[in-house]
Amino acid sequence: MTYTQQTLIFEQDRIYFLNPYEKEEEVMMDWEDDLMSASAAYVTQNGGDILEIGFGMGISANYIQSHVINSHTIVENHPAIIPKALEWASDKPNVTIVEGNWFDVKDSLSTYDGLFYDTYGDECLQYFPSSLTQLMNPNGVATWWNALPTPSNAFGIDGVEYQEFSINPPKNTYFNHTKYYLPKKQF
Amino acid sequence: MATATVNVDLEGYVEREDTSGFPIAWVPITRDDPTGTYADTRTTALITAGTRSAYLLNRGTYIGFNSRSFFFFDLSSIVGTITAATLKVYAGGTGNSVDTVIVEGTAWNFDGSVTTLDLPDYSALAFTTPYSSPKLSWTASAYNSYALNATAISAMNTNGYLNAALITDDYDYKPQAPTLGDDWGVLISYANGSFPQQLDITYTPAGYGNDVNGVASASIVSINGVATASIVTVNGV
Repeated sequence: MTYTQQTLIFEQDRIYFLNPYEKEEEVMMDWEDDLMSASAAYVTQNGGDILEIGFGMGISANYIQSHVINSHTIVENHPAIIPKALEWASDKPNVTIVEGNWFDVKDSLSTYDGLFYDTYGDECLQYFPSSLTQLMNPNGVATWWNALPTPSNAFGIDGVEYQEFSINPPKNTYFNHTKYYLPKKQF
Repeated sequence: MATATVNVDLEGYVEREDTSGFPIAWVPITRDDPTGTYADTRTTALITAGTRSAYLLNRGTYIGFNSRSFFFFDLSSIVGTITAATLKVYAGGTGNSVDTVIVEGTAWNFDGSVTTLDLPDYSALAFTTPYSSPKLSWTASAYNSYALNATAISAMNTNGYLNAALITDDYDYKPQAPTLGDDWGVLISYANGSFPQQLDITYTPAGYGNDVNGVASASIVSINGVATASIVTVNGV
């Protein structure tokens, strides 16, 4: 079963689903708030047009909106999250929600001054590094969820700097480390 | 012939989980690595998918996952020659049912003298020594039975114990890589006080081994109320 077929359960502090063994699999949790804030601050540092791939709990989207930007495009593919993203965007005139898998819609997207990529169960994960350049403006900045607990990235993207965060996440199914290395890539 | 049921003495599971930003070569990286990433010796009750193979995506990473269950039965209470045996594993639920198979295990220091599982026990099994045919179904809240083959029975008679691993058949035993998104496994009820894993054994009791009055020794359970296991001679023979 793919991620988009999973029945998501929304709680105040997390989104999760039950795997075939009735175990909870977290998709996103609110302990990431500081990381989402920092990610949003980085991709909006030059203002301009911002692309956010993955809406999730909307934490980073709210932070992105707190900065001065021209436009905010959000790509979301889970059928249970799309309505929440649309509702969230309904009173934000500079927000566009694009429904679907980011790789399927990428050729319909523009180029951006800031990009934040944070997806779950993304079957096109491996295509992110090769697609990144296509989506960025000169001097644009990008970051993404870094699943590695080291100042490195599994994508093999060159020229990346890392900001270290000390974290203390509750036990979960996607990140159980005490350091998070936020990637910073400038084009 | 006599029969006996032996409860499991040691049990648990060892998992291996590989994460990477890019696709994982599941068989060489996850299945064939000698060391696990989590080991759990069960002495208290737990229902979990201790036998499981998966290739998944989560938050920014691919996950190769494989888990193997290990069981040890002390057979010192069986005095005689085992002729047939069935390993019964109690299911805590269905899970995402998958073909499973029993193979020779080498955890527990082979003979049960070590009573805990550790990470290297992930590879404490012999793929070349299947102890059963693949089981194609898994029934929840019931014993799931594996008829052990001649290789297993020979090992039990030689060793005085059964050391076995329960693994997925297609992905771990054969093996073939699961497709991205696959998550196959069975829910096992470990250390279940009411329904322990069991070994049903048929054996020929040791003891008097001669024919008596034309009756084959294998067919004689007792003579004049005395069990054959306790008979050394009959009428001086």
